Amino acid sequence: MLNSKTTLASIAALLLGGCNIPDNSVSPQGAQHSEGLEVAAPAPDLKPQMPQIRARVEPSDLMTSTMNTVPTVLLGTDHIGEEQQAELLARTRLVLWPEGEAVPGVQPEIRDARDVTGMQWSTLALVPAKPLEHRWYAIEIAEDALSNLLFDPQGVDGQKGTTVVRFHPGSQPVVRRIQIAKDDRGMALHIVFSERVHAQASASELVGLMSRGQPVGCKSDTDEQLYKDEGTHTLTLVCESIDLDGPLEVTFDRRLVTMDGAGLRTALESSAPHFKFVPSQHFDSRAGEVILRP
Amino acid sequence: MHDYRYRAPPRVALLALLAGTMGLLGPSEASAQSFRPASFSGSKDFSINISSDEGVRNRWNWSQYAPGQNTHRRILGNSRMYRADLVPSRMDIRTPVTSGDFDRLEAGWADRSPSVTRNGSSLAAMQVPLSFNGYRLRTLQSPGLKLSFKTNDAYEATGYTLGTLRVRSTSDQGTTSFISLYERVTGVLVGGDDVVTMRVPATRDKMTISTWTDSFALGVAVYARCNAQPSRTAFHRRRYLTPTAFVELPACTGTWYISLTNIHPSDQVFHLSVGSHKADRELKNIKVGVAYSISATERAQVQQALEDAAWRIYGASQGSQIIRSFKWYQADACDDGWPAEEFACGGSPCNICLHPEEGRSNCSASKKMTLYRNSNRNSATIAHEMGHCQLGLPDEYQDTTNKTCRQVSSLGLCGHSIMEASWDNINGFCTAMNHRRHTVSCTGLNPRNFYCRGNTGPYGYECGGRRRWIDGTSMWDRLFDDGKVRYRHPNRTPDNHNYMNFNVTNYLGQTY
Repeated sequence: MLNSKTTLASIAALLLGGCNIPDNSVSPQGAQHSEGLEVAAPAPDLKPQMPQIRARVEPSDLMTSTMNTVPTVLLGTDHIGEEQQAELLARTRLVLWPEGEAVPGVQPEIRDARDVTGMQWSTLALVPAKPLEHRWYAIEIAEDALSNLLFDPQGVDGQKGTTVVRFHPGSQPVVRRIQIAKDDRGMALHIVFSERVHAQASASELVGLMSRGQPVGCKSDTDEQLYKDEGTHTLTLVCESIDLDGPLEVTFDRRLVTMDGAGLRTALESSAPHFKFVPSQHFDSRAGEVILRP
Repeated sequence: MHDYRYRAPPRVALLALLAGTMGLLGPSEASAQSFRPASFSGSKDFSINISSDEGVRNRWNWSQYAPGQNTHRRILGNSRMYRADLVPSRMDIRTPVTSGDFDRLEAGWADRSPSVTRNGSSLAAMQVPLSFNGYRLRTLQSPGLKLSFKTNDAYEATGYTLGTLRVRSTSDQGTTSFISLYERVTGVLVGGDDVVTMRVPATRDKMTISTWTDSFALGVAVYARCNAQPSRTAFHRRRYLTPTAFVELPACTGTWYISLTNIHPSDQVFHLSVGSHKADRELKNIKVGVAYSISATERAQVQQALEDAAWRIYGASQGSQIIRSFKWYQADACDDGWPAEEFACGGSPCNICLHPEEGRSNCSASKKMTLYRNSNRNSATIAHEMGHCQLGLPDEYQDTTNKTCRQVSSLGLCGHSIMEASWDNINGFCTAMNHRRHTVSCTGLNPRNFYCRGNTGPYGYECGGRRRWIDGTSMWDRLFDDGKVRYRHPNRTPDNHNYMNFNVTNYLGQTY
């Protein structure tokens, strides 16, 4: 029998070493300031007797202008058996979003591959019969697809116990994420867009913040990138204080446009995005910060 | 290797092929944001000029290629290019005396065995045949071509130059494939508007992309995006090639998609490699002390050599070792011994000391480099010494000066490594495959290339009762074993490019 110290050491070793957790799920470069890429999440609390399979989806949730990127689920594991393959295939679909109807003629392909990093992957590619149209789609995965799947990064909850990862092959600039985290200078608000945005005005003018109905004073941290023609994926505002327990409204000025002049949209409408939410209700315990996923 | 394909009935695929070949199919999705692979009718020639001269050369006859090579080059084009002929402009590869292992050039689709093998002197085109992967055509984008040059351990000749890549175009097959770390890519882009996209798995470490064109042309750009193909409005990094571009990638959980685009009217040939380095292998503020009155000219030349050496190390380590910067100290003393040198560079020891006299540059046991005046502007020498001081690698030659055998002053035992001889075009570290496979004679110290003592290569030399030994561990294995690289280099000859064409980018080796 293991004593408690041994058990703790075993769990710690698993957290550090990772059983079947791919190396590249860890992002060491201060991701919240890295052009809107996924934030590294700490390793989950795994049980030693039940190794988790880390799953990744490409494109990531709310990516737009994905062109001919083939929707793919990557599983960080040596090999999944035929039974598990069948289980995963039966519970993974490429669907129209938000209708939820399956895209006809999709051919799933499962392959095992080892890359130069030594990582073993099983990949499930959902290959459409013809190029996807310029509209929203989603990769829908039933949460019971495999009992030990762990999604990183996670999508949003869909209908009837599914996780969906939404994407748009054409240009459709939307807000992918709003993150709020403590910063040395106050509260940092990171707004991540699906495409690069630019403007000839400060982000502090272009992004309106109202906390409990009162305007919040913020300074922009990314104007230098915003003023450039190629713009930026992420706007960062450093605010004096944000009441995490009260309603927060975030609005965007129409001067904020993509490189080809398109205005921001909500995911499914052409109106400018407007968010009203209570930050504390969107606290992501894995990331240790507030993350609103529209 | 991943290669996703659309499934369509074979007849449809064949009709699409015919229609594409006849120029009947347009782009599937017209969009201002989209990059589109260029189409053309008939065949198109690109001057790619891939030559064995880029590889390691025979140390004693520079007109010859070195023995013991297994080089690898990935050749990419767009997702419409489905047939490829590699046309040599020079062929002088030793014809085999017996069957078995012999010098040869091999080409084929990257996910299959080579389809054409060549040696001798024929200039006939090496034709890579049309090939289906399921219901889709293999293209130069996916999986691309793989070119290998393999030489045995003797009988080298002067080598080859592939002057022309001839391709044909069909409908867009829409697939991309993975490239690897440590892989050298050469690609072609049609003038006017074209794109080539590839993927590489993001690592847990920092990653860099080095890409350059053979000639300067405004309008060639590299785009990188995490987890999806880049578009003109959605990318995480973009750089224009002028004619080099060095991209430091931010964090990514997933896959990097890398697109090369060309809007210049003329066709372009690009080169690319992707590196990954651990955070602690990015070395900054290496302290350089000089305790004599150095002229502004000499100082500028030394600093340029330091920068060049940083790029050489980047190249030799395939992007896994980053020499970011040097800090310059006009010191009171530097190489005078304890205690003065302990405080010479800002109150602490210098890492590099410039010596006012001529002598033999070296790296001491305490990892301090002394650069004598006759070699302080030689970037190859500095890179060799950095191999000792910054990377902890040993020599791969034996000093025979003042020893019993005086035929040569130093005896190389691993001619594919900058730790053996840091001159001429050698710019790599050995892997286990080529470690100790390019040497002088074991017995007679005759300056010729001989492969000694079977498959493991020579242990050293023996002469006049003296035996000198060389370490059996290759430099790449040492880097891996010492934790300086996370991923072991594949067991082949590493790419030999020295990356000194990047020395105007101000990314590495800057002195402050």
